[in-house]
Amino acid sequence: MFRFICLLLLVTVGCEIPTNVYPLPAPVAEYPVCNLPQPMRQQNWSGKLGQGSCVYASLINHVRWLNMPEFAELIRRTRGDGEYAARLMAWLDSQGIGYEFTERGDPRFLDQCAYERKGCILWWKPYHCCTFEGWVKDAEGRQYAAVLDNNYINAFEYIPREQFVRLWAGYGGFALSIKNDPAIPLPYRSYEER
Amino acid sequence: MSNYVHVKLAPTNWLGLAFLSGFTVMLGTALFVCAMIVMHPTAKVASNDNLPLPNYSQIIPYRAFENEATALPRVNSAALNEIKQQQCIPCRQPQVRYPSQVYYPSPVVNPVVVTPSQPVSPIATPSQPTPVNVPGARAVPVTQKCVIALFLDNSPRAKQLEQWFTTDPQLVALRRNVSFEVYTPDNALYRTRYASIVPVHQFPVVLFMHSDGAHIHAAGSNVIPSTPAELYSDLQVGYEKSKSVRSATIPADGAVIRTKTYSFDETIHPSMQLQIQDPRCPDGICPTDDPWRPGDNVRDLFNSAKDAKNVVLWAGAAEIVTYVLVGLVAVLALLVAVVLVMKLGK
Repeated sequence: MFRFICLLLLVTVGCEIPTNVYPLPAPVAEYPVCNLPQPMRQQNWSGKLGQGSCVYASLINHVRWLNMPEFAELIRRTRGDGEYAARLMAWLDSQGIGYEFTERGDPRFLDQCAYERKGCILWWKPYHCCTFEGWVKDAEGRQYAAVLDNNYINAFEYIPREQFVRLWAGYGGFALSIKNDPAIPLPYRSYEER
Repeated sequence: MSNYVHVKLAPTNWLGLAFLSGFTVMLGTALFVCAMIVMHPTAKVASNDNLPLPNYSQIIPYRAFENEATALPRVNSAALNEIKQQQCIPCRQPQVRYPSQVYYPSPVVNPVVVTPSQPVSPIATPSQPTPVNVPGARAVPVTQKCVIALFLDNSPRAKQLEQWFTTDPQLVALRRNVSFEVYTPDNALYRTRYASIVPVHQFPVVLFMHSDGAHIHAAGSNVIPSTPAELYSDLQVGYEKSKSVRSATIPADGAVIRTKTYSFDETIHPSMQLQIQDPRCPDGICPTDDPWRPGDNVRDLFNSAKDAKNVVLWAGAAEIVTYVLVGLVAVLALLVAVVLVMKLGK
């Protein structure tokens, strides 16, 4: 009896049939990181005063990426015409919308916006406002800023980083990012079990 | 002469017997612990209820930079405070080519006239930007907190799932540490970006993934567990497996880790299409591919979950068998000790 029990112990203790986990290849990452779909991009429009509404068009593009459709609709319905930084921030304060901004042309602000996959709006081109959608690298590793111009919403524009930062300062160096989580990345299956 | 042995133990013998029994139990416990360490090296999740997620607080807020002395480009203050109202509606699409020079018609910017006491450099009129094509473009990698996305319709199950993330303490704590998004069928982002990956007929769906989109755990309507605790456990298991896969060195056979587990991902195809009906599990509860092992019924007996899912336990069926058999060893050792004491007493 004792021998049988010992034999039973030897053959059954620790027995398992494992399941193996295998990693799956990752697809090519989409770029830029704030890849607002084209049907959702807001074209610039003329406001009641006959001025371009580039600031609010850029803001709509920005908050649509942040999955704030109601706020985007509110902007489209109630705002328009030209805008400057202080008045824009005052209006956001009145709406209870949290944001971060820079007026120093600090590229680290853009780095953080890209890091968080949120993007931002910024003063870009003369008398104009566009949406920064993140950094893109080329085959040699050089960085480019991806910019969505609400006057040309069919494609992103890519500007070399150094040139971009220098020119951005010349256009005022202002950028603003709303505090909200961005759209989720495109999911893919990263592992399987068999 | 009688064949029976009458045993009469003195008090000292009882003391010795008690001592031997206690020693035997301790020895059995020590053997049991060693057996567990040797035979089940699979890493267990920490007893801490919080998932060991990346420390999001390590991202330094931008505000912290403002006090640092940095060599930033000189900002055009006039351009900073002017009204942005560029209007070219409709605008002529620029002809962008590589290398490209794009002409943007713009009004003349009068330079700022300054009469300083000392000569200063005038603010340069900014040159026109030059958008370029980017051959071989790819995203700059970002590392960020994990993401949980709920895809919800108007079903009671969807409402229940959303409620879990606002009432269950573990899921609420997890939600605070991740990027949390909710999508409905009429959401524009969902329709344009995710509808082909997570179709509406799969709703509600809970999707847990890394910031680059690598899935950690995905569960469609029929495999979402019935309690928030089970969902949290599933997320925890998926996170551990995903973390191991991302950090491990891949051996020759391609398998990264070997673990006894039940995967909810069996119903997810590589294209992330979640299917309601699998021929193997028409009631939504899918069997494991593992054959029956001794003790499976024992786990079902102890498992208080109402459904028959083979939910991952930190003590698997084979492990329970091991525990029981090692316990038998301890009992046998005790019996041997008793027999020895009896012989000594004789």
